[in-house]
Order: sequence, then C-alpha cells, then structure tokens
Amino acid sequence: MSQEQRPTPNFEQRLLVRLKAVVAEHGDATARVEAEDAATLKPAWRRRGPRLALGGGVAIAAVATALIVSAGGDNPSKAFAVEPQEGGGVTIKIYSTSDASGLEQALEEAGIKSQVAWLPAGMVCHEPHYTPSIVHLPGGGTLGGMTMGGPGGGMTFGVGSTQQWRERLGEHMRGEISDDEFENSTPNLNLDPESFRPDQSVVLSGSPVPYDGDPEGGSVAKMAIAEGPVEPCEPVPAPPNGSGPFGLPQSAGGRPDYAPSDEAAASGAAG
Amino acid sequence: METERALARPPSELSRHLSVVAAREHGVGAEQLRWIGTDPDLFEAFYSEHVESLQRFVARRVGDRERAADLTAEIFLAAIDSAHRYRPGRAMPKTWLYGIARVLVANDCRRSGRERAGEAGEERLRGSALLDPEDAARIDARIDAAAQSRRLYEAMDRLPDAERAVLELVAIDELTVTEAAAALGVRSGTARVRLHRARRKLRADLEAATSQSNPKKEDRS
Repeated sequence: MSQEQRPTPNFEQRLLVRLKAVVAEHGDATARVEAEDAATLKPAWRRRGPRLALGGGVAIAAVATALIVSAGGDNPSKAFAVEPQEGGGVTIKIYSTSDASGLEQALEEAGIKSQVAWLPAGMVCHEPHYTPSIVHLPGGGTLGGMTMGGPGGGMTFGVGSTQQWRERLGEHMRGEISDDEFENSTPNLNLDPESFRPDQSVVLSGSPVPYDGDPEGGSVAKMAIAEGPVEPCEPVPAPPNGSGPFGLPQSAGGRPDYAPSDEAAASGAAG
Repeated sequence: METERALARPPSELSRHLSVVAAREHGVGAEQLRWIGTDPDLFEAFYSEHVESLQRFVARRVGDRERAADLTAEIFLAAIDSAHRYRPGRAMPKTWLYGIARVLVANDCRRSGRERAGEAGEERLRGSALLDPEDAARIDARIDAAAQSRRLYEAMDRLPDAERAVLELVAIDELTVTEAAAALGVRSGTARVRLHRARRKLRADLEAATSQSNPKKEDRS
C-alpha cells in the first residue's frame, strides 16, 4: 500500500497524539492548582466594581474625564463609561444594562454601528431579527458572536485595532503584565472598526440575572454581528436557564466563536 | 451556531484562542512558547512547525532508526516539561528547541547500548514503539540521506567541543551565527571566532582524509 493510500496515521501523527495527551495532563494539573487558588478569591469583575464605586481617587477621575471627552459631555451616562485606550481606540465599560441609546451612540462615535436592547430580567429578543454575519480580523481569524455573563454590567468592549489588542495579549503572554492586571485592564472583547464592512453592525442584547444574593446583581448579554438591516428587538420570555454560570447554557466547544478559518466561521454564522 | 458561554475569565479564554489562531497561521512565537506545555492546541502548532526539521536534525547525528524515533519523542517531551521556564529574551523558539535537542542527542551518544536498554522501561513515551514498517522505511530513507552529514560529524568529533558545537549549529542546522551563539550561551563574536577556527581545521582534516581514500579525486583538484 502506498503512503498516500494508507488509512492509518503515520509515526509523526501517532507521536503527536501521545504528546498532546501529556500536555493535556500538564494543563489539567495546572488548572487544578489555579482552581484551588481561585476558590479563595472573588471574581475579577466583582473586584473591579467596588474599586470604581469607592473610588474618589484616580480611577473615578479618569472615568469622569473620559466620559466628558468621549461622550462629548452632553450624554454622560452612569450605565457605562468610555475611556481612551493607550495607543488609540476606546474601552467601553458597561456597569448596568440600561441606557441602550447612549451605548449605541458611544459605539457609533467609536466607529461601530450597533443596535442595543437592554431587556427586563428573563426576557430575550425574538429571533431572527437580523442576518447573522462574521467579520474577518486583520492578521487572521474571524469574529462572529458570543454570549457573556458576569457580575454587574458584566462586560467591557474594546473598540480599536486588533493588532493593538494582540500586542496587549503578547505582553501578558510574555509575563510583562500579571494575569490579574490583564483581566482588569483588557476588554472582554475587541471590536475592530477596520474589520467591519459598511453593511455590518453589532447587535447587542442583555438583561439582569441573579448574582451573589442580588436578584439583579449580574447580567447576561449576547453580542452578534449582523449584515444588512436589523429589525427592532421584540422581547419574548427567555428559554429555561442553562446549567452554566449566570444561567447560561454550556457550549459544547467551550469557546467564543473566534474562528481560525473562514469555513469554521461561516458554519458558525449560519447556525 | 453561536457559541454560548459564561466568561468567568473571558480575556484569558479569548486570548488563548486567538493565540492558537495566530500560532497556526504564523508559527508559535516567543510570547506563546511558555504555554505549549499546558495547551494541547498550541503544542500541536509548535509540533507541526518543527517536527520535520527536528527529525532531520536527529537523523544527521544518529544512524539508527529506533534511537532516532526515541530521541524525537524525548526532545518534545523535554520541551513540554521545560516550556514554563522559557524566557523570550534569551532565545527564539527554534533556537530553544535545538538547544534542548543538542543536549539530549549528545547525552544519548555518550550512553552505551547497555545503558539505553536499561533505561528503556523507565521512559514515559518510547518513540520507537510507535513505528510501523512504512514509517521504518521512510525514516531509514531520511537517515540514509543524512549519511554524509554523519561522516562530517565523525570528522567533527576531532574538533574541540566549543568549536564543534558552533560549527554544528551553523553549518549543519543552518542557524545564523547569532542564533547559534544564543543557543550556546556565548557572545556572537566568540561564536564567529570559533566557527572560523573550526572550519579551517575541518577543511584540513577532510582534505587529508580524502587524499588518503581517493587519490584520483585529489589528482583532479
């Protein structure tokens, strides 16, 4: 049988399988240690909340200044804050699921068209009300959409260059900034205006969920990329909660749908 | 279908995935290497990038198929074990991997057949146990193709260790002098001087050997 016809994997492929099993064992052991460490700490977003709320110092001053500069001073919302990023772009920190039109305006000013719908607890938008799409990220990869959950507003968007975001990631990988600093200072999600076509926009919807004893202490939000017109959100009761944190369903793959290839991204957008 | 997930540590998860995307497309960078020991996807990208050249590296030094397969597995295992200690400023990923390979191959060459047989049962992963007949033929062909390199190695055995090491990395493994210096932990200037001396001695040695074994060729030159 020739090498092209052989159905079984060759030495290099068999060795890869065995080596990946060793790596997975290493990873599991590391994750167990991290989980034990994390059990004694509160979630990162939870830690960030009180620091800003108590502020009175540099953090609050920086947020206030950013609001005046970035929101033009005529629409200073307490539901979110817009902060300039070092090197260009902005970070939008969402503290609560309110002031949807203010957030739409902030995203528009940053270069991203959007429809934002903040709904009462237990409600979601009736779908479909838009055509799902993907954006191709500079330097490779694509972005479709994702569902997020967390304490408070539960999310931070970066609007800026993918390259800049990856450089920040590189600093973290090189150990130049700590895990904690990275998580507290880096957006959950980066939207790169350069990667959007003129007919593409962001569709964001969310609602409060119980967290830490507070019936509306957390929130979940769904972010998607749409192409073409987006119909208004028609609120309908949400399906039963999933088994994951913040009542979210657990995904099979366990990852946001940043996809390594066009094919994978296309199948993600179609679904 | 949209992936739905509560992002307890979202930036880390996103960064991990973007990192894998970048590694598959552009190779595992220095800033990613420390994660190959715990992230199977990143490791696969690293393995795919280097396994061919690493096998050639081994074949140029080891003329035995089973040993070559064992060493290939050992080198990647060592990389997995030590990735968390990698520091980007000290060496590029390829240089770092070749540094590991060089040490393990040198150690293997110093061991006797009896020592190897005694250690066989203690190994976590024995590469030669994964070979089938078609693999064997393919690896033998690679080893045969590297026969001249191994003859060169025999001649290099007569060089001082420091000079041999830099010549090996530059002339055979095609590292730059700067990369070789980094792999050996010496300055570029030092590596350059050693390379010059090694080449001069080796040329004289090979010319002498050629003139003894093949006088006709010597006559033509």
